[in-house]
Amino acid sequence: MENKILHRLFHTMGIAVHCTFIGISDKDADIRTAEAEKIFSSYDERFSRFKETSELHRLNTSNGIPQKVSIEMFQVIKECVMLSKETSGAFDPSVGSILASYGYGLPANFILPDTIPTYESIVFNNQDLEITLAPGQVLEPASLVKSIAISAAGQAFDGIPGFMINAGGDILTRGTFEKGLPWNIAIQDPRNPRAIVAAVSIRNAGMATSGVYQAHGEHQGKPWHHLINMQNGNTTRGITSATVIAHTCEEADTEATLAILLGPTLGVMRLEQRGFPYFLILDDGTIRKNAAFTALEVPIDTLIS
Amino acid sequence: MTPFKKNLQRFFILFFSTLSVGIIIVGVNRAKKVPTLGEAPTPLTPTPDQGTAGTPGTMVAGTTVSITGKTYQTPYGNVTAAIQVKDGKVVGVTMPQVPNSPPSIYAESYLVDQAIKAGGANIQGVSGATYTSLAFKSSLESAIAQAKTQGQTITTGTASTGSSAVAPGPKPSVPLQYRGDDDDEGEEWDD
Repeated sequence: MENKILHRLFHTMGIAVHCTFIGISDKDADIRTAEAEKIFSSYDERFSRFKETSELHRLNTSNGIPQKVSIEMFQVIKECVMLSKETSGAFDPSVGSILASYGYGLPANFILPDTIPTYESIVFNNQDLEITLAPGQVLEPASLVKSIAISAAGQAFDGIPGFMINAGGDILTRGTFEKGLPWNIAIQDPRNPRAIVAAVSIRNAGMATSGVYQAHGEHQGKPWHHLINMQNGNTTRGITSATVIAHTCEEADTEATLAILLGPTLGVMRLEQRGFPYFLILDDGTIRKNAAFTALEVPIDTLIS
Repeated sequence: MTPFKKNLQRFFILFFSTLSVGIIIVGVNRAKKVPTLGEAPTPLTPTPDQGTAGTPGTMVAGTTVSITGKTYQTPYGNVTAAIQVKDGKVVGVTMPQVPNSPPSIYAESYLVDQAIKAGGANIQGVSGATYTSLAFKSSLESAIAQAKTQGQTITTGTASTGSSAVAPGPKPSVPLQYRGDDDDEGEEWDD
């Protein structure tokens, strides 16, 4: 049995994907990494809002004409709309329209319609796998797609005694780290990318941090970030960074994103209802976390020698 | 074969084998010199004179001017941001250059978070933001700074006009507690 810790890294979807393997050979690690890279690329090719050749771009430029889509696209957009309904439209994949109008991603030179179409105008045809968008509607399901790709890669790693996938800060761990120990994962300081603010010990868990400090800029004098509450078209305030731990990275990422979008009150309510361990940094710097998170927490000073 | 041709043949063999050895050495050195994930200095080194913009003094009220920021290197490629300024206001932000994937052969050298490793930390991963966005932010800042030097008055006071993110700290800092106002070097990302 191999006991080495093996690291592999590749780049996809504009993010770095770092894989750590325990209990397999170098050659196996190469093979598994190549498989994972293929999985990520296929999601990127299909769902990128930054690629003119993607299926998503075809859908986003369909201008009200029904589009036959792949089963993968159909499922992802359906899931997005389900989350939109659950959050009364705070989460809405139609956010792509606003981001595109800021010049962030495609379609290029996009001008926002006076009335921004919402998730409610997306029409699904279950029989023919067709999606019809409203004219000028641009979808951005990226937050969901990344974690779905991580889950798919995780399934491809099935059978490996221990592994961790870290895709741009979204983490999936399975099995254990060396010597049967759990994985120690730190949470980045939203104000300083080189600093951390907390750490947890997890095994067989997904962990995701969503923050308003990642993609952001300014539009007509108003600061924006990529997480926009579509109920009012404004960027959400209240939570700077939300970390959620769940069995899958998909759940963790979805809940972290929703927490930011819903804001401190509704966000915390939703997390409490679902019982996921969470760690939030509010805009004023205060921390909100639950007992489930504290149970996994390890003091940073015990991890730094 | 004449002696001259023989000598010429020898010369070519020697010349090309020396050349290929040279290329291999240069290649290996370059491959070795990949920046580590945990260290910011390399990713945040701007390539000189990449910033371009319209000629100063040609600003006309009501027109939109596009200003391209410096290109920042990340372990995965270059990142360049551009802003569109109209009447002293940033009306758009674009990231025209998106990093390409490096060959996976470099993977082993990247060992994630060398900085944390160097500090002897027992941490296997960090959940949070990505490098691309960090470089994007720096490039954005340089575009805004350029807009100012060209006589554009940027009226909005976001912190992204600050330059502190470009100067990396000497080593990773690990605050034990998160407080709102104790970190002078930390940039406000929001307001």
